[in-house]
Amino acid sequence: MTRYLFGEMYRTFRRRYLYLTVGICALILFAIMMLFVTANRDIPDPAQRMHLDMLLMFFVQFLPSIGLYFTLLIGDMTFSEEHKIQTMRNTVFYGTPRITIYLGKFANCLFFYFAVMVALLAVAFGLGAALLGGPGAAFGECFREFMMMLAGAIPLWIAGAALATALFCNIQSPTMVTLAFCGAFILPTNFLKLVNWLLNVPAAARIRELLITSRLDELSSGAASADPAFLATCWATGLAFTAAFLILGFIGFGRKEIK
Amino acid sequence: MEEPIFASHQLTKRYRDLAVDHITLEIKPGQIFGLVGKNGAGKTTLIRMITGQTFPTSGDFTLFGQSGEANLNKMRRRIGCMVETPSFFPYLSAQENLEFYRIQRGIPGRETVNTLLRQVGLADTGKKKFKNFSLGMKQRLGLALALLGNPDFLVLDEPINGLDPMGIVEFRDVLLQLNREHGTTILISSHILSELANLATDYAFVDSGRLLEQISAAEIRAKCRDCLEIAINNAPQAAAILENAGITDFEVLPGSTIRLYSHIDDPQTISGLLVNGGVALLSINTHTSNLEDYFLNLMGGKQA
Repeated sequence: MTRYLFGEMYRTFRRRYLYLTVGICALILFAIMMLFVTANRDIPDPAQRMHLDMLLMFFVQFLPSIGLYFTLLIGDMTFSEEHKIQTMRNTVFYGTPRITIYLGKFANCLFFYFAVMVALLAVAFGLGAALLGGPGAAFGECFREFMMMLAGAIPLWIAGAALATALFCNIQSPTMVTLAFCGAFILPTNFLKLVNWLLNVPAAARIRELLITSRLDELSSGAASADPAFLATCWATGLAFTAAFLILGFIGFGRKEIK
Repeated sequence: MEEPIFASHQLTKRYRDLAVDHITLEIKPGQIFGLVGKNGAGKTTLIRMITGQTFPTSGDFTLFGQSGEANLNKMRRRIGCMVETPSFFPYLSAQENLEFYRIQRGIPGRETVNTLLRQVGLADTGKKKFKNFSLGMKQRLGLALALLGNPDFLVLDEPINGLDPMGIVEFRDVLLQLNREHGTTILISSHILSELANLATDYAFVDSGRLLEQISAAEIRAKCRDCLEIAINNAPQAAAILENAGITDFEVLPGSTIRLYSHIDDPQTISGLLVNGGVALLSINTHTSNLEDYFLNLMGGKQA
């Protein structure tokens, strides 16, 4: 498993895709930061201007959902279109067990996901400190809220990476994987919302609360900092979905014909 | 008794139709085993089961005497494979692609990769990406990967497709060298029967997923010997005449035809003997046959 993972990392580090992703995301962050800087110009009172605190709250609001869909991008990068270019058979030829391939892909996806995430957050806070100035009065509170959001979102993002791995290992077309991934997160929550709204079924609302997207929405609205016990439900949801996605994915991949 | 490298028992793979139909086959150590069949005969499916790309519907097989998925996977570490057109990561160079698989397989020694690249003639490709390789270069890199880790058993499916004549000769030399010097057993499927005839020590002929015949190259050579093919009106009488003249190295084929494996340079004597003995001679030709003819005969004259 370690050897397989090292091989995957060797290859992923040599993909231009990795550096383009980090570069483009860094540019987007720079653009957002410039919006903050531009907005600050019209605020005469320095105390009212946007500081790092505001950046932290921006992340608390948007990072949970962005982070979930970001797992798909990293999954695509690390899976490296192995079905399309038919390279997975070279690994199978050598007798590498399917479970090693499958979990190795998942571990590689997680490694690069968190590596890229840390790099981008470092870029964001570096740019924020340089362009927006130092922390404001509410920095301590904002930082706590940000860290609580992060603590709750991590297991849910891991579940996202598990779904991305399961789909990439079983479906040949990246377009179909994208549709299935987005569908898996967007459709159930909206369907349950509709059922509850049209038929007034409270169970639908309860089930909806258990979904990854619902947990992320609550994290965006600061549920974790308001109630630290909420973190436990995030971890339970994240781990349960991770296990479910991985098992379901392996049922298909374990007997899949590798061309 | 020497344990077979590969042995299958009633091995079957069904998709919609039967792709491999109850094949029982044995490959012994040191053999260069030619797998011959038309397109869709089941060669690639059989190879895919050996390499672990797909699983049998029924039947089983052993590799180095081991069976069961976990044991087969362990034994596959002793196998080098090249199935159809080699596939590699397009954005990596030859050196990087091999290094990736070297790391993944835990094969020690970074120099291994450069040695293999030299062996297959790709040492000077530098940073050129795989996506910019010619088909011949891709085949060479495929062979290099198959040789990574010094396998005991090479499984090659159409390995010389895309190679130029010089490349084919070099490829053959590498395989023969591996077989002679290291005792590497080789399973090779190819449409280029003339090339296979230069390599194989044994053959299996397959059609519609079924094994038609497993035969050694020596047996085929014996069956494909040069001969005089004589068409007459009365085969038993002609055979008696030949035997009376002390000529015994012949066989009588259906349809009043005799194949005579002696006197090939002396057809006048034979025709004289037969005509004087009262047999009507319809034709007499020198007949040479090769692996291709043998294959076509086996297939009932259908084109491969």
